[in-house]
Amino acid sequence: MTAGVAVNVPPASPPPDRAGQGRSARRRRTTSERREARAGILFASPWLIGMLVFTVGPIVASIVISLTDWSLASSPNFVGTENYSDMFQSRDFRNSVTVTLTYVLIGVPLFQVAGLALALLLNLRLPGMRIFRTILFLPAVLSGVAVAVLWSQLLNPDGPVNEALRLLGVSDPPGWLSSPRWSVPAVVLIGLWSTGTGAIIYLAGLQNVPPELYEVARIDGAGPVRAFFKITLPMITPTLLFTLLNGIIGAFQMFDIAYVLGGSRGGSGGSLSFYLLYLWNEGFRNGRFGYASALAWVFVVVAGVLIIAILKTSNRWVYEESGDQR
Amino acid sequence: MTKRPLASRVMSKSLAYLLLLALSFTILLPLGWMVTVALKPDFAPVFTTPTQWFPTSDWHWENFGRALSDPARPFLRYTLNTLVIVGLNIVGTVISCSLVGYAFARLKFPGREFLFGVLIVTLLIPWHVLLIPQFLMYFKLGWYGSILPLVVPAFFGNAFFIFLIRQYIRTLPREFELAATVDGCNRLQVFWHIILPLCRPVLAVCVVFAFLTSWNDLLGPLIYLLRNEDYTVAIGMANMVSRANPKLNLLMAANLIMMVPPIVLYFVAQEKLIGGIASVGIKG
Amino acid sequence: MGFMGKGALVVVAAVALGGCQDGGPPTDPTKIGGTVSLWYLEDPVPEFLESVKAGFEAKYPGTTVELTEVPEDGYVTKIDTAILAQQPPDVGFVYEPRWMKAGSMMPLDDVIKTEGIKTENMNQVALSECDYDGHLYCLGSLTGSVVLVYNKDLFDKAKVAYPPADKPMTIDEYATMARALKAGLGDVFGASAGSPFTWSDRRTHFSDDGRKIAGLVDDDSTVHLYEVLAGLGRDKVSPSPAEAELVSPGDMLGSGRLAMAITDMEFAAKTLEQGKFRWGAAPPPVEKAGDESFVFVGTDKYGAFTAAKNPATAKALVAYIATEGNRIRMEKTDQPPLDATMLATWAGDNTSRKEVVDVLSTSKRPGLFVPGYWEVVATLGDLYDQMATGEADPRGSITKEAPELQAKLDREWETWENIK
Repeated sequence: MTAGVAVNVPPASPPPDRAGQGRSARRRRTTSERREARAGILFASPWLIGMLVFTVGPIVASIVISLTDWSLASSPNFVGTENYSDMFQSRDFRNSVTVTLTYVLIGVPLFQVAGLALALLLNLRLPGMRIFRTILFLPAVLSGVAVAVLWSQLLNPDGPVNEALRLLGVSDPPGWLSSPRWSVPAVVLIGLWSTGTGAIIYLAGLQNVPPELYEVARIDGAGPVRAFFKITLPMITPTLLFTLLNGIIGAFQMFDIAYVLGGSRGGSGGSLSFYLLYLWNEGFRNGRFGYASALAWVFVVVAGVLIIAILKTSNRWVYEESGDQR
Repeated sequence: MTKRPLASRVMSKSLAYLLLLALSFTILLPLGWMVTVALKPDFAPVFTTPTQWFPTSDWHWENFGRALSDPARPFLRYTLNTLVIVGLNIVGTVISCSLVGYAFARLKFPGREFLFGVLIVTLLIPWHVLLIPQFLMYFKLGWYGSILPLVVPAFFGNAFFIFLIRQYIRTLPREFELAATVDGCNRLQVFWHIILPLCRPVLAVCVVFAFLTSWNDLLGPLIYLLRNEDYTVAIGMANMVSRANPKLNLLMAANLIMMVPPIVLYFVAQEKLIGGIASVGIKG
Repeated sequence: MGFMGKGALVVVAAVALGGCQDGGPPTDPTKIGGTVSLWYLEDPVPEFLESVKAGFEAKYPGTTVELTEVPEDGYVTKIDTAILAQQPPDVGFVYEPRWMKAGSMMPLDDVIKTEGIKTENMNQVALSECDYDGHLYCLGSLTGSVVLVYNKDLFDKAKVAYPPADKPMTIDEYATMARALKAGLGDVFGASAGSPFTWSDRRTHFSDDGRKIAGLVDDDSTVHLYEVLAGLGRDKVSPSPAEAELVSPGDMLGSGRLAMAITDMEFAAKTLEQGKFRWGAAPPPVEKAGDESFVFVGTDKYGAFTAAKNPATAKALVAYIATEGNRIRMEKTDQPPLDATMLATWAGDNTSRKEVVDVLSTSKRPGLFVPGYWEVVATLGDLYDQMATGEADPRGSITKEAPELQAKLDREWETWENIK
């Protein structure tokens, strides 16, 4: 299991003189280049070996398994693409796609905006900021399961959250997890509570914006709002790209929280049947392992295409670094 | 800043503080409620009106002891087992990921860009589907029933941490490395004496998240470990979170116990985590 | 390429291991002795297995029972992988019927014979979950029943006659009783029932061979069942699904806020006794007059794994649970044993418990096997909740859902039949 949370350090712009220096040096070093290549492969070898053994092997196996009706309990028979055609006829499959996409479409933009807003707030130079940062980043280090256990109680129809809503004048607060309509919003709410994770990354991005730029903007008479849109936002687009990708991957791979909140069958009315939960249930509860492998491959292809599409279009909106260090 | 009138500055400052306080409360209140519930006696009403956000009347500290002292679930033993696994994971992750991250950030080798693409793609693959093939492989290797499947892969790098470290190293100025090379250091020495010390902030991040991942991992230990005396804390907790017989106070106490080590680590490492990240831009 | 080789290796391993399952019971029965491992799910009464361990070790000197608790969430995965690795425990809870069909469990015929276990005395509904192809693969020690439990004090207060213990009411009689209770008691709920598929005879929803659901789940009598229960929910005679989730029917009975409920007998009895109420039991209602009584009973289904390291001792342990274990159940935990001949001893001179024994004896039919039962009916449970709040119309929604349910059932049967 990879960590679903990320703390990234976006690349800062290197000193401007370096790119040229590197290029002129390149032509002269052929033996040293070869030595460097050897060193590179040597340094990268733990991952190369690990990837081949622990990832590529099992991946190939799972592709093969996806073409069989293997059910763990019995020996596999080759069934061709039957698993793939089955899934598109399954209502539960369509439901899990809908649930996942709903979550991605609502959650990802909200988390991005909230994370950036929080980071902007925490980037202010105010006394005592360190304490606030400590508190607001705290949810980032709590496990998804522990957070889900906590929130499953907080979101009880008669629990503290609705109690607070009633105090604020909401006479008929939502049923959250016991209502199919409010289940995904409930998971989004829990995600917002953990916004600190995304904010750490944004904060790092914000701190990399050279202060001189703001100085220039101020002299030009730009207000804080204009400075944000003209300077801050363009300058942190690399961070934005990273958190966006990370957010999308995380949202697609929603599992732990939904599993604790709704059980493996995906909550009330299947409203929490996220894609991976559906996959898990088919593979490990029902023992339909061939089918579950097929589900995984559709998932990887769709998510992969989306990520590549974002990366391809990213050069249009991501601020160009001055010279890549190659 | 000097241009704006004093009143407006005071206004916006107090607004910022108000916002920060409000947000901090939304973080702290749920945690406080959890402590309140954990300290309640058995069968006491949990959902009260008004909500008790912080413990005021009940102080059943023994709930934590009860959560831990069940003779059938030796939590001390579990903790030691977990710490061995977590420790090995951290060591493996730091060594392998920093080496590989350095290679991707600084060393040119054929197919580097392609392999980096592969690295990104592996982040997308849900671990669920690799579980059974990986299981069969570990079993063939004779690792079933031991902690090897839980720790050995860490020594072969983790795509996410490699990605982080690579990004970080790319922000470091090259001058130190060049100077060291001129002084006759080889790549390994450059890595050891220059890169690793400079990477401390990002490695702190990796340590914290590697800790979290393996501390919280339930399924891995559950599948590969066979005997009660080899179990980890996460399994013990999962056994406690009984659905047949839910005692919310003990459940929340267990939940808190599970949260404490990551929080302690966070407080110890937060200088590095937040301060470290913040200083990156200034160094560059 | 190297990694292709690895992949092939894994696939070969998968095939080879997949094929390893049909070993059947070992022909060379070893002697009873040595260590025997038992994996169990969370047990609200930990004394039971502790006593079984002590008793078994005393009966067979030289044996050691190794108890390991496995969290329910991961239990199936844990067993599946352990079976793949051919290192399952000797004894375990038989959670999935597919393990019986795949040959992962040992049939217990021989030990039932040698130990003289009277399986005909055991509850047939519970045992039908251990039955595959005429052989028994697991045995248990507990009668965990879902019956109509009621608070006699509240019935007296509302001046409503108690339901009979020896014969089921129809669903309409049940509803009339619930409404009378509500009318007589004011702010107390009249009745509470989970979705009918959790407590009624599966044959009300399925055909007798378990292969058809469409045409049966949406027939008039079953739809009527849902309509009546949903009506109770809409009129606030029954607690809403949200309320039922917050406070279990057992707890609601125990606090005197509910007059009767179709629920786990044992838990409800405990809370009612804690609340100092007199309580009674009756069979759950049936669709229409003349329908056979049915009481759902589950048990702690322990079986011995085919790949057990210590097969003879494993079977002996299962047999011990099914015999001495019943006594331990009764004496150490005060729970009703699975062996019906012991139930009278369990009831003693407690009137309420005697009623439970009567209720259990009304139910004569075995349970009906349906593969992936809970998967198939899951959406029906969601619909039931929506009916109770008025969001869904029973007839319309069940009729609309029936073809989907049938499609799911077909798929479950197909998967089941693929298991070899």
